[in-house]
Amino acid sequence: AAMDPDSDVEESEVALLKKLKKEQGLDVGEDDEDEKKEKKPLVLDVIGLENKLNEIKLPENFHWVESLSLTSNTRLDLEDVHDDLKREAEFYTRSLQAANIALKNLKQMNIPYERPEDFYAEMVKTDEHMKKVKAQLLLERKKMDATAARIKEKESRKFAKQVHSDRVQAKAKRKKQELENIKHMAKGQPKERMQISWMDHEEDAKEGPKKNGKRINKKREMANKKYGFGGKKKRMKTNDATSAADMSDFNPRFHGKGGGKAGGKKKKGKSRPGKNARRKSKSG
Amino acid sequence: GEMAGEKASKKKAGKPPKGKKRPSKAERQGDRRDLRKYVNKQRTLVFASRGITHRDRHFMGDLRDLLPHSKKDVKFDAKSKLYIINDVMEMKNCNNCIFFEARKGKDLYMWMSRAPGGPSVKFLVENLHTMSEMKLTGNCLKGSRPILFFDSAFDESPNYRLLKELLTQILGSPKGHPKVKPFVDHQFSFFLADNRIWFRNYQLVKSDPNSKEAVDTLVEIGPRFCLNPIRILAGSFGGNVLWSNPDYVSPNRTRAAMKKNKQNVVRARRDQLKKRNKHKQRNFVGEDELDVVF
Repeated sequence: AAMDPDSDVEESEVALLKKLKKEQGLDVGEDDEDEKKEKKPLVLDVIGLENKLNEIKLPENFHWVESLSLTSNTRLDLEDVHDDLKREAEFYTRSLQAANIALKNLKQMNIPYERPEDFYAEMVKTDEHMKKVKAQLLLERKKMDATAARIKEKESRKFAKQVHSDRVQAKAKRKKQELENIKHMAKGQPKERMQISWMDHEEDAKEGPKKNGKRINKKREMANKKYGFGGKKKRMKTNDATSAADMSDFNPRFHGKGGGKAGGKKKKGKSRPGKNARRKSKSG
Repeated sequence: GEMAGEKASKKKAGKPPKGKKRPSKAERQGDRRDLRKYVNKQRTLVFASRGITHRDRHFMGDLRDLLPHSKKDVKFDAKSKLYIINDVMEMKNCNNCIFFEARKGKDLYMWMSRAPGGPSVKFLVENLHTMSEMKLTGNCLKGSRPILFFDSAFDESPNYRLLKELLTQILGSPKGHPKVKPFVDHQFSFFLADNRIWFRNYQLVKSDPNSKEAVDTLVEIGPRFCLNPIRILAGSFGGNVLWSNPDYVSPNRTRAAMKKNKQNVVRARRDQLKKRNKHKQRNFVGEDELDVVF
């Protein structure tokens, strides 16, 4: 500011201020001085530039196809050059527009520019390199999918827990209601209050046979039968007609021993809706 | 023999019918002929100085692949006598050159010049990403011609107009060159921002067969770089300075400034400590009787 002839601050005042600052041990601000000293003089030889341009310019009669160069009508004004996303997006949209204009021009001039499908030629990047690029892209996609699956799994687990707790609560409620209904029946109340579900055997049939109130472990039962005490065991390991003809162990998908075509299971008729559909129907 | 006779007889047969002039053979063949004619004769020499790093060497290789009218040469040794490059260009019969000057093993300068007597430009290459980076997924035919797209800011000042012309002739592939294929499948875009020239190379892709536009997606091929223009000289590697960039700061200066900033942090902390000690001396606080309680 001191160098500017129009400024209000006098040179002597600035010097005094600097001296005081130095005494107090404050920063004097030397950087501004350095910059002022080394500010480069701008060299702009307009005539020279114009002459040079005329010297090297392509002849006027050259068709546009010789250079294939386009200049945009609008200026690119970026607020922040360091905002990568915005900057690249701007570059992209402008370049796309220009590309379409250029190709339209070529089409109007009846100049072919598209490579035919069967024209195999060397590309700038080798096939091996493109394979690596593809592998990298797939890896990134896989990572994204894995994280998405993890989040979904977590949510579904939460949801399943909620569903289970709801079911347990509903069952407890029903049980309570039924006990009350029985009381009402004993007291001789109207029919609406006498809906007792255990008379229909619906609930228990779902759960399966129980032993002492706990569910029977089928595997344990089989092991007990095979290796436990008592019962007929003499011809347990030999085949008879029915066991020899039994094909229940055969899985056609993995070529097991025995006849049968390879192929997956086919669900004929009405199939059970998937997890998402079931969840939707329940919540909706 | 026979052909000549036929021709002669045709001439003798008479003039063409009045009102209708038969166009010449060249005109009849029209565009097909033009496509094969090699009128815009450009040959670019692409080489570097000694001491070039691996990344810059790959960058040079990328440019050589993208410019089918380019020629290679060995590493140039005499960095202090750049005018010798003119002789190299003459020997290789090139009228343009892109010369990479590597300094300090850190900075890469790019010279673009036109011989003989043409202008030359010196740039500082910044933000360099070579073609082999995994994020740049596009690809194009080797030898295909690029569309050159310039931002409108290139027309606003005489120095940038000259640069635009140089870039068009040096980086654009000449039509009809023996190594150039007549297909157009990529585009070089040049933008002016932050007093630098930003370069992008896009592959033109039509991913949606139903779209009306010829191209609906651009995929970046690379390389991706920024050119910070330093000065334009009237001659090839010599001559008067036609323009110097007032906003250009040399990389040495930027590095010095960064170091100075670090210095300032240390200085400020030291000064603060001094102040604190002085303050403590002036306002002396004696021992507190209650300090020994716990």
